[in-house]
Amino acid sequence: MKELITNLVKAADLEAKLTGEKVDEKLIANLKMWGAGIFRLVVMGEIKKGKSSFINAMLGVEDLVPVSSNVATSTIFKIHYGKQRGYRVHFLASSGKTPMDINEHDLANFGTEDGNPGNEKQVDFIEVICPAPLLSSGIVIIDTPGLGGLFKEHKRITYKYVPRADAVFFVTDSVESPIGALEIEYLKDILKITPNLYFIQTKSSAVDEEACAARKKNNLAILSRELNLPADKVPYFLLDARLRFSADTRKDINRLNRSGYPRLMAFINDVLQPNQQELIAARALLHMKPVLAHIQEMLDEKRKLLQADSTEKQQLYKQEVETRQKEIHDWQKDTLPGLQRKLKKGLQEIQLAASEKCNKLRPGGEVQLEFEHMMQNAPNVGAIIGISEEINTKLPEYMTQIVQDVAQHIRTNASILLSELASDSSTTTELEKVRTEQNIPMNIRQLRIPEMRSTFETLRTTVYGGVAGVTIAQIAGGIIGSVIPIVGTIAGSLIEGLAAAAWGGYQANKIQGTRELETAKNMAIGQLSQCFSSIYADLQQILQRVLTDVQNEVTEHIEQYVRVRQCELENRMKEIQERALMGADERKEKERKLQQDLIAYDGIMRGISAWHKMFESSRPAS
Amino acid sequence: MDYMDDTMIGDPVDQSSYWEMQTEPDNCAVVAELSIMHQFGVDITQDQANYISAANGWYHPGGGTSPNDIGNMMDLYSIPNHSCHNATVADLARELQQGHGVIVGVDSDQLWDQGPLAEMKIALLKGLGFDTPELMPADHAVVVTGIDTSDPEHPMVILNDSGHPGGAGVAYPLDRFMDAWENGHFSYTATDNPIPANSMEDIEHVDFTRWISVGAGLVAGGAVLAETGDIQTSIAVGGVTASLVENFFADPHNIAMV
Repeated sequence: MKELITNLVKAADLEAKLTGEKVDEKLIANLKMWGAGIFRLVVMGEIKKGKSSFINAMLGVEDLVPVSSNVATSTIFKIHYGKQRGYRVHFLASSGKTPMDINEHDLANFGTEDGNPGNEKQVDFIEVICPAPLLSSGIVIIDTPGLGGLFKEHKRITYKYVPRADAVFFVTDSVESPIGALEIEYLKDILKITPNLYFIQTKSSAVDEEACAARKKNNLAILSRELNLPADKVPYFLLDARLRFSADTRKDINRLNRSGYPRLMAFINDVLQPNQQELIAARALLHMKPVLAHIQEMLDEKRKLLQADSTEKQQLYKQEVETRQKEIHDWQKDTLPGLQRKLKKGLQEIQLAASEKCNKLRPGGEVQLEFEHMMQNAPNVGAIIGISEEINTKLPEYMTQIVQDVAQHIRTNASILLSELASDSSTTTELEKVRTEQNIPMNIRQLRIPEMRSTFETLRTTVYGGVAGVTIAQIAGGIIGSVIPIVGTIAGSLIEGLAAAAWGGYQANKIQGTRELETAKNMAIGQLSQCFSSIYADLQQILQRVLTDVQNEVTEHIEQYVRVRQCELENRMKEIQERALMGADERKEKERKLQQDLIAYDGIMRGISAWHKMFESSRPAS
Repeated sequence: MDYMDDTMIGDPVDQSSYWEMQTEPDNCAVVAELSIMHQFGVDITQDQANYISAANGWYHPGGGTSPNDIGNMMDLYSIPNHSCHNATVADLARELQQGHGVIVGVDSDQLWDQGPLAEMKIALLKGLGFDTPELMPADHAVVVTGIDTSDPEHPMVILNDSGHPGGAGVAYPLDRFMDAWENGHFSYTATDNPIPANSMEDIEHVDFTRWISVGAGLVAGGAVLAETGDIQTSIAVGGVTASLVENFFADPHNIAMV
């Protein structure tokens, strides 16, 4: 993976050198992010099941995140690699506070209920820097507060991170009761958002082996019955953090094996990460295919020009370039406007359909009516306050689910639209399969990455739009990949924040101060109505923005592509004139430089060949 | 130590003193890394190395070590290293000439002389087309310590092989070695820096092409000796991964994005 990304960065540099343009900084930034291989591993579960101990043991640092006998973690801990261990508190934006470095002794003061009751210190999350080898490949572990318990806020925090998870480790233990109804409820919610769910049973040595195995068997039976997860296929790990640390002290490999951690580490290293790396590699290759094809084309052109050693050959070459210039001009004049109209229309249709998906959240919609009904049935003012708290928890959850659904819809249908726009060339993609797949990461493996013929060859035989069309589809993958997740993350957290601010801002004591039940109900329902109006309006704006961004980016890419091609062809014409006057020494020097570039390109292609082969071999049979 | 013989690439004599026999049937990769780490001054025992590697999920007792995880323990001890695939013997020679510690994966059945019956079995499998990395994958890690070109018609590869008692500085014919190495996709892991006691700065450059195209059955691809390993890229890559992650999180906005 690291070799892939390094070679792709070299390719970007080589393209810039050959075109004389600046390196595309956005591309380099993307490559760096992909190269960092960020893999989000979210740890969830009910309170006091050993989530934090599990994480500490996985990383081999006993006191990395706080563990205590009382209700422990009350905030998110984001743990990533760094050479020196450290902690930094990030505060909520509304607090106006800047991030603050702390030491491990201060952790409890910011990260636990004991030290920071009700999050009075306005902590958003705590960044933990740890030099563990497991993290050096880009894994980020997200330790969440326990679900259930006395702190519903913890559930809200946790659900904010599940949609972004590459893997969710759900933690239960060997000591208390087996997976219960509340946990099943959480798991059902999680499975609606992600299928990447794995199970951890902690404290395996706190009971005897037989009891531990019986608990595992019982849990698997429950998961199978309640969630339709086949017991023999569920990744499920029996672990014991105490054994792990005891093994570390004695360097006892047998004890280490009994702790269960080597098996888990092997699963992360050999299964989870490679799958994630494939996804990232597919995305990176998709982005870079036009660049690699462009480099090949430029090198072929240079070679052809140097080999045109007679006036006749140079004249022929000149005619070919002039033909291409005409084709680009005609395409821009005749085909591009139609393509842009179709794009705009298609995106408008997607927006309409996406808006319909948000209907549940519209003012007077299903969700608002449900809450109003609850309010209307409240027997007293105190009950209204309780219902308010419940709305505080449920509203962000509804929104997260709906926004995720909308994001998926936009991503799927925008990809299909863009591939349809490219389908007038013979190089169609198989993105139609995306219609039936729910999980985009699996879809990437189903994609048949289009064959990229050289632009020169294509221009001689097809309308120029075919090649540009292929580029559109490939740009689509990149655009959608970079833009659409924002709908699920920024929009999700924005809306959730709006929900909390708009609704939660309605202070309970306003209701408390009201003696009359009907007045209190009317106040609460009125506030609810304003909240939904505001949220729905903002949601529509976000949808509009996302789709406008898609349109603008595609248009800009096409225009830039055409501009670059036109510029290249003008340069070719100049080079043809220079070629006619070129002496033997100058020609030799140019050949030498070309040879260097060819070797560099060859090295890059060999460096990424293993990944190319992998994706070629995973193509479905046609 | 002054090294004056220009037909030996690498320093197998010095490295042979760092050979040790593996204590488990499947910890060859741990021992291979350990022998190099010892030469860089890392003072841990084989048991400790087994533990460290197992605790990090690289060595699986009963299952061995994935080729992708070779080099991780060296990273842990700040010995930068890089890996190459589809390399050639010229790449190995270049690494050795620079004094780098080099580990390769081989098919032990094809490397070790296990008697005429075993040789017949190998020949049969080859004849049936089963001699591929997929069907007969590399199953053993060894340290390449030298290439002896004193007989250009029969170059020998010198290894530290932890898998059998006579494995310190054991020599194999180049073609036999290549046969066994092929099953590991011609991959290797090498240190970025020379082993401290093993700097080769005084050795004259050896012309690889002279013996690569003779005896080993390999073609160097015309005038250009293909740098299939592309060592510079690999060295650049080897040090990059953890720093990519560090660089990513150096931007304070990025942690909020996660």
